[in-house]
Amino acid sequence: MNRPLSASGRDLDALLAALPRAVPPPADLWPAINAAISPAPAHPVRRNGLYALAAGLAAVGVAVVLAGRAVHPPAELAAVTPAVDAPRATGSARAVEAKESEYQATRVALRRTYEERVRMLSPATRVRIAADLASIRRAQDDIRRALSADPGSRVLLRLYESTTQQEFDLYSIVGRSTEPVATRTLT
Amino acid sequence: MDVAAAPLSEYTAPKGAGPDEDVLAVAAAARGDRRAFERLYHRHVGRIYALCLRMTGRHDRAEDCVQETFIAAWRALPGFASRSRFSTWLHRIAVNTVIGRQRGLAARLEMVTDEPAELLDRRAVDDLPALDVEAAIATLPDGARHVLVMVGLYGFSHEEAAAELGIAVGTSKAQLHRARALLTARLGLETST
Repeated sequence: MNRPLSASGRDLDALLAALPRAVPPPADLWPAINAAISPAPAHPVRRNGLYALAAGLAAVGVAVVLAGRAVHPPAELAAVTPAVDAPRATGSARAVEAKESEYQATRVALRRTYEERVRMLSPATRVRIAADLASIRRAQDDIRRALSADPGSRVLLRLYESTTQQEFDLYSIVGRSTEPVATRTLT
Repeated sequence: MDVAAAPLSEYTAPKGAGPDEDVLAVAAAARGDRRAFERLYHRHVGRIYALCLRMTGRHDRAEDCVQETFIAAWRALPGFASRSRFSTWLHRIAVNTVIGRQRGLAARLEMVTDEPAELLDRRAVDDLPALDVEAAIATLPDGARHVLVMVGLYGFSHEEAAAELGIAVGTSKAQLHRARALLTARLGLETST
């Protein structure tokens, strides 16, 4: 049942009706879309490769998230994992390379704790973590190769950012899950 | 619902490209014709971008969502049964993409690096006409904004919006009412009658 609209309601309707339903994006997004849907032989960013990459990332992402949730609630995990600063809108392969030097400092710091603590985990867990890390590194390598062929792809830049964040999450999860109980922050 | 919006089911593609033309391009694209899919892209990208922009409030996220929407559509095209119009189907993919990103791992990771919500990308609304209305919509809480954009601007029914957003129909109606009340206040439309 519709109630009669007040004058303000009619004014609002008029303003909403005047809004354009279509707005052209500031950049042409077709080239990136076309690259992502192009078949293997015609383009260096192979479609099958992208499927495999996406599937691998999804698997790693799920593994990392599940592992993290097993130890910490998501909010706590987000609070303790250093943030990956994304290569922003004007990003390119060069932007990733520049950021990589910043990532490296964080990586070194996180790995120091990781290397010390991972030995405290069971052999089976260590194997799973090593497999996840290997998947993450393969994904990073694949994305870098794809970026060299398609340096302006925002999808690939996002994937690279997400993959590096997953790497950092994994280090943090290991560090936190093996932290001596007395030093943990009680919430 | 009295907001003047062209219902999705009655949507006609712009620039003289009617549903019949979509059908031909969709059929060709479903067989792997990327040129046909490119025509569909150019025909619909404006509407999909505007939908994504208004739902996310940010240019960069809207562009990402547009790319993911069309990539997902390309992959799903062989299974598109033409029971609904291509534009309707594409809008639903776009909404799913926006919502999926917000709920998913990508959103969790972005939250770590994002600026506070009040620092919405002003360019996103500055580029649009009727600045005041767009700016006011961008400041709405997510739930209210999503329903307003879907139902009030893009012709989703409350049932469709509720299904896409994973909320009850009553919640969708309440969110629209909330959005309208907030917009009325923020645009200074209160009357003394």
